[in-house]
Amino acid sequence: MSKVVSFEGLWCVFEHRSGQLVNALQDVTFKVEPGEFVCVVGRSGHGKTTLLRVLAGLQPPTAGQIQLGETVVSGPGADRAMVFQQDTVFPWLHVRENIEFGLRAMKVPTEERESITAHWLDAVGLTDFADSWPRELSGGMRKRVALAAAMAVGSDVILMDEPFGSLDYFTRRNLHEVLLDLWRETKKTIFFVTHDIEEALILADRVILLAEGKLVDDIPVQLSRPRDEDVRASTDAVDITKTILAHLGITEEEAIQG
Amino acid sequence: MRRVQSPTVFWIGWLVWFFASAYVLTFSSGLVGRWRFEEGLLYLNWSFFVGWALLFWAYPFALRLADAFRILKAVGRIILSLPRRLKDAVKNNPTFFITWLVLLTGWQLVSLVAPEGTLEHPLVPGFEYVLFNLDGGLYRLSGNWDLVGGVNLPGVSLRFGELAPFPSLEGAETRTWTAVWLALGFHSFMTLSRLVVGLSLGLVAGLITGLAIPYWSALRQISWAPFNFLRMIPLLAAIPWMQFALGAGLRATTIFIGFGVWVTLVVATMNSVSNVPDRFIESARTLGASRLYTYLRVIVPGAMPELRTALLLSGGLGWSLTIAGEFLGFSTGLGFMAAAAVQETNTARLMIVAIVVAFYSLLTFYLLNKMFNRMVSWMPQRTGTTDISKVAGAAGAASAVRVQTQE
Amino acid sequence: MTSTDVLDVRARAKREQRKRRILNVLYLLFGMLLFFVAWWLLSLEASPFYYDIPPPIDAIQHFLGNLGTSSEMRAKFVHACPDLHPDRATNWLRQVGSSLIGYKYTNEGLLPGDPRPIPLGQLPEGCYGYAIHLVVTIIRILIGATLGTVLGITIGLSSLVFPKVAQVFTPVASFFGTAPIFIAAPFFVIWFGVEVPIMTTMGLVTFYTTLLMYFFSRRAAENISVGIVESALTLGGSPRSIFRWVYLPGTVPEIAGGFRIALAGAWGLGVLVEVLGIQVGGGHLIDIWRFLIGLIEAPSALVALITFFGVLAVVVDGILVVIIRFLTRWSESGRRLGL
Repeated sequence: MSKVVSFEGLWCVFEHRSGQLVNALQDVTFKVEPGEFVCVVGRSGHGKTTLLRVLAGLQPPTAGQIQLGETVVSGPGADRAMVFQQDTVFPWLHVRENIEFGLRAMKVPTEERESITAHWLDAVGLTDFADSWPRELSGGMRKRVALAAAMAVGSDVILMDEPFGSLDYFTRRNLHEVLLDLWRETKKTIFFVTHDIEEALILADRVILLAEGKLVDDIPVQLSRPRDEDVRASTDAVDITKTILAHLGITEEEAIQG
Repeated sequence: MRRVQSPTVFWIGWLVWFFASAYVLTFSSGLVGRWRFEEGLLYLNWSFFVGWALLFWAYPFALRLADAFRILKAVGRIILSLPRRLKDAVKNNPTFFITWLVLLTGWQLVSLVAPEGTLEHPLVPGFEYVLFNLDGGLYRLSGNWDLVGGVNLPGVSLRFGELAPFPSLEGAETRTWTAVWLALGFHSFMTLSRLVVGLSLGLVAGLITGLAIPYWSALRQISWAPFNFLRMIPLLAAIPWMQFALGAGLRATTIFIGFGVWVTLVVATMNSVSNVPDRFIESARTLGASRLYTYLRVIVPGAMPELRTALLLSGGLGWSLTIAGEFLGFSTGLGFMAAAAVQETNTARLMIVAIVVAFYSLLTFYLLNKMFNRMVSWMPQRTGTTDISKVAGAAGAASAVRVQTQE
Repeated sequence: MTSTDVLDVRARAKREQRKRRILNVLYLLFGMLLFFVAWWLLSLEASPFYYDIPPPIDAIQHFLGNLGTSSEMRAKFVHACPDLHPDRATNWLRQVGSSLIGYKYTNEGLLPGDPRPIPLGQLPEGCYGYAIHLVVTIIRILIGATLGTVLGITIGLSSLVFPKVAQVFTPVASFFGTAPIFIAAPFFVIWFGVEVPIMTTMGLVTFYTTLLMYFFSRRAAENISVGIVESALTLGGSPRSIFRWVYLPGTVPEIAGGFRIALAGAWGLGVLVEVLGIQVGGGHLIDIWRFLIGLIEAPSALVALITFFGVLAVVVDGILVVIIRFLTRWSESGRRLGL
């Protein structure tokens, strides 16, 4: 358990639909300590998701590498489970089978698998829905299933790519609480991609700022937890928000243009 | 007797018994003495069928008395409820019935004013000609009974002469209504058995090949061109070659229908595999699933919903190939009945055959749909009235499932 | 990282991109090669299909050799094209015209030319080749498909304005649509086969295309999201303008897809009706060859003709894809459309 994640000179060059080459990531280098909650913030199309996908091993970097402890990331694996932006709960499996998915893939013995599944079903509050089809659940509940499935495989690092982006505000706040509880309980390293500064302030120990594929700032968030409304209204929090906005280049003029 | 526990075993057992009991009867001819079985030839008569029906129903009564009564009761209830259901249907959807009423009346009117033509039969026959006239449609189907020489089964050859006289041998005055129904039954059986064997072989082979090929991406790319070309070949036009090359037996049709369905389904399956959303595959991979495990547990089930169209269209293709194949070169089957009607340019006779074929294909698509919905019960329920199953018989002639697989 | 490193990274990406593209083309070509190798293997003496499948070269040679004029056809099938006349036979266009419409009407003076049939032996060489038969079939099928498409779309989209139309047509279309369409073919043969052969192929193809296009246009209209229509209404759209600017363009992708299905099926259907007893056309060629099982050329002829219609279907479908891609360039599925 507990490995340092280090990004070393990471480049990622993409082929655009028109055939042009696009730099999605440019020379990204940083290190993340075990158990940290890192939010990756940036505008859309500026490399956040690419960074996460390279870390997940879904995409090979064009240059550079990512190390998890001593090993170099070379493909997807259960040591870096990911929760996606879209709905990735398998509609053809019951809720329980969805959460068991990774465990079954790794051939975990039945008894152990059942107890792990029961634990995570309980942790995300879906025990009563264990035998439902995903189509019978709400969007927020399906996200809980995805979260539980990622947690259940027992990885040290959890990757989350704007997981709550499509949910309404109240469901999202509720899931933030669920996620923070799980994080405190398990002490996993969490990479959380978002474009929502408020979300980052609620969750993060540290904010990594990406602009045009470059790492432009690495901001520690040393606010007290829980990060309720008062904490987020404090001077420190407002300063962080201002720093982020300044880096992302939101000027008054642009704000008016939308 | 010990109760059979598993319902599947019970139903399969009944099916096996259905065939086995026929053999039991055949070889007990000496004991019963009501039908002849000589030198491997079984001369069928009505008492044989009565015996067969009794044995058929003896199975559920012996094994599951309560179930047997339940089945009989259910059948009875369905029959008794038919008038009420019809009344409800008329009340719920009057346009449907009015439309058909208008169409049928229109046909009848057209038959009154249409030119007689120079042929023996009217070009547009009215319903009394189709159904009741002794020179007309239905009664003339007894002519199709003529050519039913017999069927060779393993260990026994069936002869049908004692069920109803063959008009071709014994003169036109020996046409009988019995022969009409026997002809319809016999040829339906031949067509359906061709269809079922060919279709199921094609379905199984197509699904296996179509799911296996995309596992290796190089193989998928290599097979793209050949399969897509094969799919575009108008198979209906290739039927003459099929008879030329493969002959006219059950084997030939099976191979040909199977081939057509196989090609169609391989392309369709490969497409639905590549249309499985990437996010499911990526999610599975980050949860630690191996390539094979992801393929079996994510890609294969994920490809199923889109296969529905392909499945229905293969049914349509199978029907087209069977009927057209029989029309062009067989001496049994519904397609042959149509060809015989054309031979004497009897549109009335043709109409009966067409209606029977339409009825069977409606049934086929109903069953295919049912089977499919069971397979993907996890899917959200579908809505909308314009479902591909409504035109699967026509669209199946195309085998162009790549085009329109999104539902 | 220095600027040279940056260039290096991008060059590497570019190399990979090029490699991938070349590989794709290679796979495609290899697949085609494999197809011909398999065909050739099936035609070898050791194969069970030795007597039924000619080597690819033989089929192509047979087809090209008999395309324009064919001494083989002239020698063996004096009845290959009986409804041609000397006047028309010298003029290729007139040949096509008379074959299309049927000689009964030409004889009644609807088409110019000497109505008297000429002795079979005096027919010119040109009428025996495959080309005229194939052209006639293609035209018949295309006319039928076009008519059916216009009819089907008209009924389908008009059911948007008059819902009763759908209530009447959907049950009828689904009754005829579920039946294997071939069963309708004999009716057309009996009704029109002798006197107006064009109506057989064309009539059946029209009937079939109407069914399918009614269905696809109806489904396309149903799939247009309520939101878009409501938004158009709030923008002040009249029923007329919504039909013109929302429904018409919005249904194009699905209707176009349906047309591809319909046409792909129409080739086989049209040819098969001609096999049933039309005197001129590609199907008729197949019909006369299929009885000559003993002839050494028969497999070559059959396989060549069937393959021709396969290639034709692919080519026409390819052209359609280009057109549809242009018409639906605004939509994601339109842009990514492939064969």
